[in-house]
Amino acid sequence: MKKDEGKNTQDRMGRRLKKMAEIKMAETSTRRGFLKTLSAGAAAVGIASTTSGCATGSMDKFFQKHYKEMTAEEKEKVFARISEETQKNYDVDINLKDPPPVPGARFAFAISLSVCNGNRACVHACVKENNQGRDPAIQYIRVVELDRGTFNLEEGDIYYEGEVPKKDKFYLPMQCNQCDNPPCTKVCPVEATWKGDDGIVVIDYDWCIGCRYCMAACPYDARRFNFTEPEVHRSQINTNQSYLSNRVRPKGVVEKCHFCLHRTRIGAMPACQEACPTGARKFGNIADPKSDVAQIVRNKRVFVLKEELGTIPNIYYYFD
Amino acid sequence: MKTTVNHKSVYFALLGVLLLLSGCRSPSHKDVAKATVPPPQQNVTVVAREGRIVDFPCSKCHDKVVPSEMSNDGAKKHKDIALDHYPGMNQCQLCHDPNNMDQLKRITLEPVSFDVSYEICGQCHGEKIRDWKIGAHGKTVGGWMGEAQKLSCAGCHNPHTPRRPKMQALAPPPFPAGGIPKRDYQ
Repeated sequence: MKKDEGKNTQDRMGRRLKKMAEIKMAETSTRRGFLKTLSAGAAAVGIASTTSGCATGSMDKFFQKHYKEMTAEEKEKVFARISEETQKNYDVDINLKDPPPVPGARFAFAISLSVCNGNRACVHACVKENNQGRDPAIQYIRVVELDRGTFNLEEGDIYYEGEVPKKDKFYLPMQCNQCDNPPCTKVCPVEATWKGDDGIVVIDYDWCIGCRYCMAACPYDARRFNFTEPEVHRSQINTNQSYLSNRVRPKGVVEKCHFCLHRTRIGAMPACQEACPTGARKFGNIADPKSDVAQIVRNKRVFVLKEELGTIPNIYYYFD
Repeated sequence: MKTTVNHKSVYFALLGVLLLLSGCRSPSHKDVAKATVPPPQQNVTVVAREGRIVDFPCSKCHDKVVPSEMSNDGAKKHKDIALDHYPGMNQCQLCHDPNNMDQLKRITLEPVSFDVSYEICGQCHGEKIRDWKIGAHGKTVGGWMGEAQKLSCAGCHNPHTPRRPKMQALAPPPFPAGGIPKRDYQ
């Protein structure tokens, strides 16, 4: 096992070096071409070469409307373009949709901290479900290991290993709280992130300019940035994709947990809830008074993270 | 003198109105939780146990069990049963009915089906059964809308050895390059 891992890292290093060399080569060639056209002094030729160099797909992407202003046909066109791009880049046929919010639904999580044992099954199920970049690894869920009797998240450890639960420790999974008063959507200068009718804060990856204001505004460290093109092997791509959630992200955009909206907006549970072997995660519609989460919030002593900030989070924690 | 006091009070009133107006802008729980459409319903059923127990019904093998055969130090014929429930809880008859092996029985001797075995657990674990009934304890599979199944106590805990085993944590997130481990700067 250990040997294989070493080999894998070596492979990865080799691939990385190769890729870097390729990028360098491509850069020099384009720069040379650019200088050549300049020296020729033919601006018209230059413009012609840039437009012909651009695929029609990226032009479509450039002139694409804001997601909320698109009609159904325009959306279909965009979905077709993205499917084609994924086919070209990853050689995978995807099933790209975007289910609308279910009327009358308000999603919430309730997490039992007495039951959670910190095994990180949710973290890895989330990565598999949502096509996050594997190298550098992007994970939406952070499980914080805290000493019993304390509650200082800064003293917690997210890099713990080995057999869990450890003696005198408890585990607190953190992810996007889908706040009802979200600070992140307010700071976005281009309105690439907004709150859906079912309470999910979504991001349009085609509209995001990568300024990372939202990451600075989020008090829960929920948002992640794609510093590189996400590296996902084609065999590991989840083909059940949605425009606003788990399609393979481009480089330079922000992403975060979206309560698996491609699943939850058609009535299924999120991947982390399904993967949890302990049953610590409860997901449901808090607007339905008979749902698990609504009953927990009514009957148990629940708390939210950083309540004093007035963000009104939708993940409730409780001990029992 | 009187006029200045009036001015001050006017200013304060204005300030108050402004504060109220600014306070109105931040949303509260009442505003956001207001649903105009009736919420979609979830129909939860408890997973039946009888079809899931290997070799059920027990009367396949045991046409009758003499009460004395249910020894107090764990069942002799069921080698896989290691009784480690609670110190002193080693009597099969506490939950099993020696006269009808296909059923459980309450402490008050009323028979209980295996499908509602949680009733047996709830005799002692009252707090847990209350949490389980409202969905605060236990695992639900299925959808948040439509059909869902709730596992009963024995779906996760072996009733004879109810403690859940420890697990191996999956890989942690990669430590940031150039980062300082916590123990080094504390």
